[in-house]
Formats: sequence, C-alpha cells, structure tokens
Amino acid sequence: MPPSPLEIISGVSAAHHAQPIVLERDHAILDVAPPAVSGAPGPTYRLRIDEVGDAAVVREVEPTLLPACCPERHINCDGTFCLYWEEAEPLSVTDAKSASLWFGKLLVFLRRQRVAAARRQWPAQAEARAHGMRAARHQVVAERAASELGPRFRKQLMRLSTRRKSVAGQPRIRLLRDGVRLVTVSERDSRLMTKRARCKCDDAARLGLPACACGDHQAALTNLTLALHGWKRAEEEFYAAYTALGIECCGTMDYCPLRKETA
Amino acid sequence: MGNSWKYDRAKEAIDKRFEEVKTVEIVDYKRDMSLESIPTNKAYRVDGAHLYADILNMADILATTEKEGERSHRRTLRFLNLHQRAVHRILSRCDARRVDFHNQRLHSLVAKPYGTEEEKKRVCRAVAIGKLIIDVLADTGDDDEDIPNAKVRIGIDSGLTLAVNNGRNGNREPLFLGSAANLAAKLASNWRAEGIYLTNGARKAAGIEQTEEGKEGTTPLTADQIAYCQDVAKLEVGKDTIVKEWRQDNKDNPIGSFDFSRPTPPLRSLNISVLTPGNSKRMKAMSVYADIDGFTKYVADNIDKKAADVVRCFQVIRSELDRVVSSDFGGRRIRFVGDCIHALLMEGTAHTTYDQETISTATLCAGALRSSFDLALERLKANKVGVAGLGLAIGYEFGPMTVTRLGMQGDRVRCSVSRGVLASEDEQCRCNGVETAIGQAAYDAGTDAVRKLFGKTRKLSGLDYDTAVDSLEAEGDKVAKDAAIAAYAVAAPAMAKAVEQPFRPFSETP
Repeated sequence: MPPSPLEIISGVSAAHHAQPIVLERDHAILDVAPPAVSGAPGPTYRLRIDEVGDAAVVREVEPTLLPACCPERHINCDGTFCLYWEEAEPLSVTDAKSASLWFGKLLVFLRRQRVAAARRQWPAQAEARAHGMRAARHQVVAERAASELGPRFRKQLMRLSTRRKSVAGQPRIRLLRDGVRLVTVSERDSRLMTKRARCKCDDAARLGLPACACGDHQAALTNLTLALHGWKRAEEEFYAAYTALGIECCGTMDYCPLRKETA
Repeated sequence: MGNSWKYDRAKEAIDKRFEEVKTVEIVDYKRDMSLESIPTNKAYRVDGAHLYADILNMADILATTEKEGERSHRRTLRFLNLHQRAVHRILSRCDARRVDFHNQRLHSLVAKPYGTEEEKKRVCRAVAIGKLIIDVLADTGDDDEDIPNAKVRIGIDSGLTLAVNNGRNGNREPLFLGSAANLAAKLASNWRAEGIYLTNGARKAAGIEQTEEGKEGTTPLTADQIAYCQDVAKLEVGKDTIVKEWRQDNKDNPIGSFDFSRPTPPLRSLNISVLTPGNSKRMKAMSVYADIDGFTKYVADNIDKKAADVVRCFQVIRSELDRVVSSDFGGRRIRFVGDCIHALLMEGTAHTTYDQETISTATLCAGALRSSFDLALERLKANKVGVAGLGLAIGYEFGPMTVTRLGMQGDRVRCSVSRGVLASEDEQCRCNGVETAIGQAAYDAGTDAVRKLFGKTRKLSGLDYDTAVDSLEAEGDKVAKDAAIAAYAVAAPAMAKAVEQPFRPFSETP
C-alpha cells in the first residue's frame, strides 16, 4: 500500500524546517519554523494537517500566531490555510517531490503572514487569487484577456475597475483605469459599444487601429470588462456570505471589507 | 555575501565589538592631555563651550541651477572651501579646537582656559569667536567666481561632555557626547535667522541676562552683549588680520578647480583620504542618514554614574551600523556626525549607476541597519548595559552626489554635499526612533515594489531587513527576489523554488 500524504509529509518534514509531533491515521501535527532570509530566529507554528483525498489541508492547532479566520490573509473560516486554488493548480501529495512543492507553498505562506501582520495588508495582492471560486474564475478570464492586450496592460490590471450604468434603460458597463473610462460594453448582448474607438492595447499608439480591427482585441476588451464586473460582484457576494454567517473581522488588516461591514 | 544581512554575522560582530569595550576607562580631561587618537575603550570628561556655526545659504547655492549638474556642485564646494579655510584660520589663531566640518556645519570646542571656575571666560571666548566667524565670512566670498559671502548662525552651549574616539582607521578627531554639544547644534541648525544664540545655561555662565524659557533659539545676543563677551575674551586677532591672511593664503595655495570623476563600485573601496578638489568624485548614488534617537537624553541620564555604559553603547551601535553599510552592502561611510552615521551606496559599474538596483539595495540596507540596531540593543541588554529610550531614525535619498576633501593641505576634511545629501538628512529628521523615510526622488525612481512598500507618506515603522526583503520580494522586486532566493537556496530549497514562482493563495467561500 503506497504511503499516505500524511506519511509522506511527515517523512520529509525535517528537510523543510518542520518537526513531526503526532502522526495519526487521519491527521498529523507538525511544528513548523519557517526560516527568515536573515537566518534570525522566528516563531514556530504548531500545525495540524488533514488528508482530503490525495491533498493535504493545514491549519494552526489553536489560532495562536494567526487569526482564526481572515479571508484577506487567506485563512478560511474553518481555520485552514488556502495555499492554492485546487481548480487551477491541483496539488496531490503523492511523493517526496510533490510534498516538497507543498512545503514550499506552506513556508512562503507563513513568511507572507509575517509581512501581512507588520504591514496590515496582504503583500502582492495582485498575485493572489480572488476571493471565492466564482470570483477566481472571473479573475482567470480577466487576466487572460488583459494579457492579450499586452504585458503593460496586464501589469495594470489592479488599476482597472468597472461601473454599471443604465442609459435609456440599457445596462452598460464601463471599464475604467484610474477612474478614466477606457471602453463601454452593453451588458445585455455582451457587445463592445466603443469598438470604433482606438484600441487600448499596448500597441495602440503605434498601430492607430480601432478595437474592432486590432486583432482579437474587441473580444479581449469585452471579456475583460465583463469578467472584471463579474469578479467585483462575486467578491461582494463572498463577503456577504461571511457577514450572513456572523463572521467578524479579525482587525489585523487595514483594508478588509468585513471591517467596513462591522464598522 | 554581497548585499545581504545575516543574523549570525551581525551577532558575532556585535559581541566582538562589545568585548573590545568591556572595560572602559573614564578620565577627567586635564590640561596636558591629548584628545587625539583616544582609544576606543576610553573617554574623557571635558568641560567646555561648544560652538556650532551653520552656513545658512549653502542650500540656496545648491539650488541656483534647475539641474543639479557639475557646475552647481563645483560652485557649492568652492563656496564651502573658501569659507572653511577662513574658519580654520580663525580657530587656529584663537586656540579653539575644530571638531568637525560637516558640510555647512562647523562644530568647535573652546576648552581653554581650563577648570570649572573658568566657564565664563570660555563661553565669552566662544561668543567672540562666533562673532569673528560671522564677520570674516561676510567678507570671504569670491566676486570673480560668483561665490557669495556666507550667512552664518551660531549656537553655543557649555557643560560637561564625553570625548570619545570618532570613527576608525586613522580618523584621529575626538567626538563629543552630551547635551552641551547637542543643544549648541540645535540652536545653530533648527532656525534660519542669522546671529549668535546661547542656551540659558551658557548665558548664565557668561553673566548675560537669560531669555524666556523656549525662546533661546529666537533671541540672538544683542550687540552690547556680544561686545561685553568680546571685552572679556580679548581675542588676540581681529577680522582684518584674518581676512588679510586668508587672501594671502589663497594666493600662495590656490584652491584650484574642482574636477570630478566617477568612482568604481563598490563604494566601500573608495579611498577618501586621497581625494582633493582636483580629484573629486561625483556620481548618482544614495545618501543614507541613520541617527540614534534619544541618545542625548541617554547621555544626560548616564554621564555621571554610568559613563562607561554610554561609551559601550555608543561604540557598539555605531561600529555595527558602519559594518552593515560597508561590509554587508558595499557602501561607504562618509562620517559619523555625533550619534549619526552618514553613508553613500551605489550599485552599477564604473560608467553608470543602476538607479533602481541602488534604490532597492538601499531599502534592504535601511532594513538591515534597523535589524542590526535592534540586535545591538538586545546584546547590550544581555550584557547588562541599559539601553532604555534609544531608537534609530533612518532617512535616505537618491540623486547626484559628490565626495571630496576640503580645507588646508595636510588638514583636509572630507565632504559629501548635494541636494540629495541635504534631503536625506531632512528625511531622517522627520522620523522617530522606529521609522524609516525615503526621499521623493528615490521614491519616484524606485521600483513599483518600493513605492508600494512605503506608500504616499514615504515613511514606515519597524522596517527591518526581513520585512524589507519579504515585502519587496512579494511585490516582484528583482534585488529582493535575488536576495531571498540566494538565502533560501541552501537553508530551504523548496522555499527558494516557491519564491521563484508566483505565489497565488486563495480564499474559499464559507
């Protein structure tokens, strides 16, 4: 019988700054001390690992060094750490190599927690997945569409926002960058209403083409606008679900929607 | 080990330094003692009047051109050189000790006549010397070279200070710790009006009417009060003689033109002791100021009963700050200014400066300075040295920098002046003991990661080395990423691999 993910993780833990404390059939407990870049001594986290199929989920045994729950810090409401999004990057722990990959994510996650606590905001927000599966799916579409418009455009994704407005009873979604409108999309038929305006891609100034004649950019701008709008709404629903459950903000982050709700 | 800070390395260096000052000797300064080359583990209690002279219009000269080019630097250095020569002549003719020329700021000590009972004479002498400096520098510009006269503000206080060894490697000048030196400096540099300003303590010692509490910096001595001090002091020399000698000296030993070349990085290897006006350095670089916050009060609280601890604390901390700048980050200390270190950092080649690399590296260095400072306090405490109330204020700014030596041949003083140098000091001044501030030019030219880290206030609390690396690395800063990967490659290879990839944590719907 092949070793279980828990046995594999415990087996390689010594190479990853972790020490097994308990190894049961259904869970393991490890002491993990993520190394600092400087080699300075840091905190040791006592973590519980549970198996979910071939994957492993991890949480603090008791929420001592981390909040019990904080979506902004990627700690689910059951205390488990959301190290990655299974749908986009599945990670089965089947051997030492995949366990090492898992440990890499865990150790970086714990280091990022230190920065988040010090700065009161999650570092590299642009890199993190959106909150909740629906929002994350929209995010994937938005990122792909933004990439099609060029690397510079992709880099500015976090500066984009959308605004929904009805004109003559027709719902329209405006795509804005730093508050300035780029394009407008008709929500009813998912149509780019400004397709004859100059494209917004990285090469727009050089090519001088309208969006409808600039490769596939008409579709990219449309998809991007709709996906960003969907992302925003999905995240609002995500936090509404938290609020409905009566989950309160842990107070460790400055820009947390739950904080606003409770204020 | 390039451009990184290691806990173990810092701890070892701090402990080693502490061993050197484990036994400290404190001696009362007497007339036949020399203040040159004081051993690191020795300090003298010196009673004297401290005089600071601040040339108020230096920043204006730096700012006269729109672009901070060679001409602007040449003019500023010539301005300082002319006036420093004149001040040097005054001090040597009046038997006062020059402690340091820190660009536009002169610190000197009037220790004679010796003895507590002679304080009045010392303060009056300091006032008379201050007046002479003002008068002479109002006449030592250079019309041919369009160098204006200097506008001067003088600050004076009197009292007991500790003279300790300043710096390393042949820097023989002493440095004075204590409120007399500090208050005189504040009186000279915290306001912009010309004149001579005394603390109430110094006024009392001189027999001059005291001012209202808190008005010492805005109440200059009157002409009558200055005349009274001049009568008591009876200086052996007057303005006309000094100016005449200064003119003759400039004729005999012309300053020559300032010629610039670029130094080759690392700046650590820059030999400042061979620089002259004709062989000056100029480059785009980072100027860093790190000041021990609360040290004046610490000295005042401990100078009587725990003076040895003051020396230990001072030598351990600043030696470690110097080590971090030069050893860990390849930078160059320009000077210690009291309890503050001024240093330059540069990444690049002999031909060009890599702007963003320099700014990111300096950000890591600023974090490392705080990490080392905190560790030094921890180690001092472990060795039963009190460190209550001490902090570190750090400011840095990027831009064109100069390094040269000014003054008389055989007695030249190092100088690094530019808008960036002044701005970095200003940034440091707006920080408390846990804060780090980055200048506007560095903020604008830095990576997105640097800008995100500091935010619009350009100021952060508690930025240590690990926080700096982790924050910048997370935001994709290449210098920080390389530092993290290099550090983890051996200690945690799985982490090094994870850092190389985008890290995309998720949040599940409840």
